[in-house]
Amino acid sequence: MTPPPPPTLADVEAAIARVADPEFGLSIVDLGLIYNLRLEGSEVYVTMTLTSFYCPAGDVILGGVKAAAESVPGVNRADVQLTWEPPWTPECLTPAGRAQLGWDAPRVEA
Amino acid sequence: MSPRFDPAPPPAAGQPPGASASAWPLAWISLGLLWLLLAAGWLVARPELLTLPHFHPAVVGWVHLWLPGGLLAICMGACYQLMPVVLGPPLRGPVGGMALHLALHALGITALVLAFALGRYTFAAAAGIPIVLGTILLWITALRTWWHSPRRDVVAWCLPIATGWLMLTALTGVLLAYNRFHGFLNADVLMLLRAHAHAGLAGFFLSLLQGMTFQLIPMFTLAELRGRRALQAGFWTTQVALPLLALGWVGGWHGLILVATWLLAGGMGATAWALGLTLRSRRRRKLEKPVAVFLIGGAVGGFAVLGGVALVTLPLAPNHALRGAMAYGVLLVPGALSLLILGMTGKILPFLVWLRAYGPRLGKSPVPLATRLGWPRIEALGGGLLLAATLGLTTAALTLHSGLAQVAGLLLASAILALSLNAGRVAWHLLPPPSSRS
Repeated sequence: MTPPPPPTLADVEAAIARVADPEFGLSIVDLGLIYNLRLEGSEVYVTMTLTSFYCPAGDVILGGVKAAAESVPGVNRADVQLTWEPPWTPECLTPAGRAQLGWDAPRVEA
Repeated sequence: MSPRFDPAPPPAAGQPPGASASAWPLAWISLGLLWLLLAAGWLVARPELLTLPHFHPAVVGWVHLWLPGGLLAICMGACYQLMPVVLGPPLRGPVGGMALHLALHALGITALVLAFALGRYTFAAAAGIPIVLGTILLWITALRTWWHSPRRDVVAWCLPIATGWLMLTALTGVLLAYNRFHGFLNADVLMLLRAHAHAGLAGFFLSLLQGMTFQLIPMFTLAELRGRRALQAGFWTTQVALPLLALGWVGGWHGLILVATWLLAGGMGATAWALGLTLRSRRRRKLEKPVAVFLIGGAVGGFAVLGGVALVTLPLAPNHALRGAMAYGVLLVPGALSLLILGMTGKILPFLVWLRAYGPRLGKSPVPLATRLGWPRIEALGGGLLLAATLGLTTAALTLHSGLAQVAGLLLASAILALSLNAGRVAWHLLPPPSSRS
């Protein structure tokens, strides 16, 4: 049996992008939660944040990212680190994320 | 843009705030919905309840089934779920505390409502004791969890304070019931009842809402907490006004009642201002239906407060004052509080169910969104019926129109039925096997 092709960063990105926030339905990539993603051989290293220090689904989302990364053929282990620096703000949303939320431009406060 | 408000130091990197197990909070919410269904059925069977004075035993019984029964049970479930999320550390309560509290509350409320319905006040006093014990458990849990939390903003303060008021409400309720026969309290019984009712309504529910709203609304709408000073002013004004109001009622000092009522109303106005500013900052433009129902509940509450201020301020004839008091109670309890709590339940319940049913599968297989577990149209119908029932019930109370009371009672029952059906649909996702329900 031929071994699976080595995983690529694009494969891992695509897998993680399928993890959606259960509340907003946005991919965590479009939410801007992924700060850093590295692939070293068969190991994935993710540095990510959450929208709030008090996110009730925090541990579930972290587990989901780990599971998604490890579901990529050729990935043996995913290490997901949570960070609060810099703190997440709505400016981290991607244009696709903003469009999905009905927010097309940065809000102008009177 | 002003910085996001979060004065508490963040948890250590790699250690997200823990979420408590969802099973017992779900059990609390289910119990609450069941009691609301029973209360709605009672109103359909006896629509004349609305035309009776608010201190009539049957009315008192119904109110206790609806409020410390239905709505409070739902709030307890939400509190137990949100406490560790909001404060950070795991729940610091006694082992099995949630389950014990549920059992005590279920026993106590059932006995209490029966006692009131039968006019047996001594039995009501005894029935109140397990309720008191349960509130003590909750308060200890809230206080200890808060004590170990680094968070000290209003959102955190509201938990030990609101649960403390709840404990006081239950205690005073037991005292009032015993006083009915032993007469050891040297004060106007009606005034004491008002103090007891407002300790619960404003002490527990208002304090909790003045805090937790500013956790939940930013979370659900991707908003930033704004109007920090107004938020603090609103919350702490409530804590000052309430004891003054209670003192005024107990002592029979109308001047103090007037000042405290206006103070309370002003505090709620400050909270509303902060909420408005927070909502303006939201990134999720379209408000979801449960959040809309919640906000409508807040607006109805505003009208109720205006009614309360009018009752205290204006010189009303006794029969008008009585009708006004009934209408105020209806607007507030089956009205505003129900819209507020059932609205937010429409967000919390699906999330709890999603956590249990689909959380472990996230990233491994496709899962539905938490916001798509129910029937949106049924949910919207329930919210609309609840609002219509509120308007109908309030008008019926003001005009003593029994026919309108009957119709409004049917609307209320239909609203609870619709919301319960939707809740059932959401809860259906808990049934195994998960793979057949996506």
